[in-house]
Amino acid sequence: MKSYELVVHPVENEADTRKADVIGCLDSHTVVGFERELQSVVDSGANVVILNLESLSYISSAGISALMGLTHRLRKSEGELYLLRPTEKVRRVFRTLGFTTIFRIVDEEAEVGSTPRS
Amino acid sequence: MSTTPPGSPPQEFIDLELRCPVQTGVLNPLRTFIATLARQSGFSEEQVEQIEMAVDEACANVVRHAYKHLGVSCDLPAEEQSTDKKVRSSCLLRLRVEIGEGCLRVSIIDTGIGAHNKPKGVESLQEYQEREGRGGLGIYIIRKFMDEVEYETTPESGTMVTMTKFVTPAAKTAEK
Repeated sequence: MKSYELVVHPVENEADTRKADVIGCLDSHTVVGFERELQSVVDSGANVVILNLESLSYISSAGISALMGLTHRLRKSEGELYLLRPTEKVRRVFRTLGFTTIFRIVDEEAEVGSTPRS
Repeated sequence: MSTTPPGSPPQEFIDLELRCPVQTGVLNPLRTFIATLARQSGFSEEQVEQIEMAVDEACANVVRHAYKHLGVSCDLPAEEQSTDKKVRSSCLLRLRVEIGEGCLRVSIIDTGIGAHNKPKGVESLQEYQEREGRGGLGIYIIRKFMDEVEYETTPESGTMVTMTKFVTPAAKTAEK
């Protein structure tokens, strides 16, 4: 059984925007591949990255650190990482640890670009 | 289920121990194992998730740090990994679970280099941000999500991390 997958989708009319579905779990086992694939996404010219987390079943500190690293890289070039519709379990982890004040978490793609950190 | 006061040993022990190879591939099944036990022990779903995550972080620390000096670590590049079967089979991660009335205690034990699991994590999210997300979050999570955490470590002899969680009223969970 595959425990992780990143599926990247093109975003029409937004040359610097990439959207990807994160499927499965992000832990110390899967994070190496996740970071490598994220780097490819950024290297392809992305300045805004939307990660759909509605099929992410688990995230550990390794996965959170990967998201933090990407957030820092994108913000340095005035870009942004958006986390779309995290599962209730992942959202609870972000909330309990305080990451809802750091990550841009959105429930709809229409909120991308306009949502302040809550 | 009543709550055993902090510091008291769990009563009516269930005492289980797993011995696992030091590989990141064991983390997912270990999470499933501990979450199942916690759920059946009367913890809320949020507490189950916290136990699952704390155990995952402690086990990941073993896989990352405990046997790095022997060339067994998920952080080492392929060319630095030990291919000696005898060395690899000597590197073990032991997970001991004790369940009593209103209490679950997990010990993660290795026989590695020692001191790798001593609390060196960040103290706050602000400190983690200042490090730009580079390390220290796992131990922060363990301390935040478990009620009691103890480290016993001896250089060259390994580390045992013992974490305890009590089935608690919502009020105690809320104050954390």
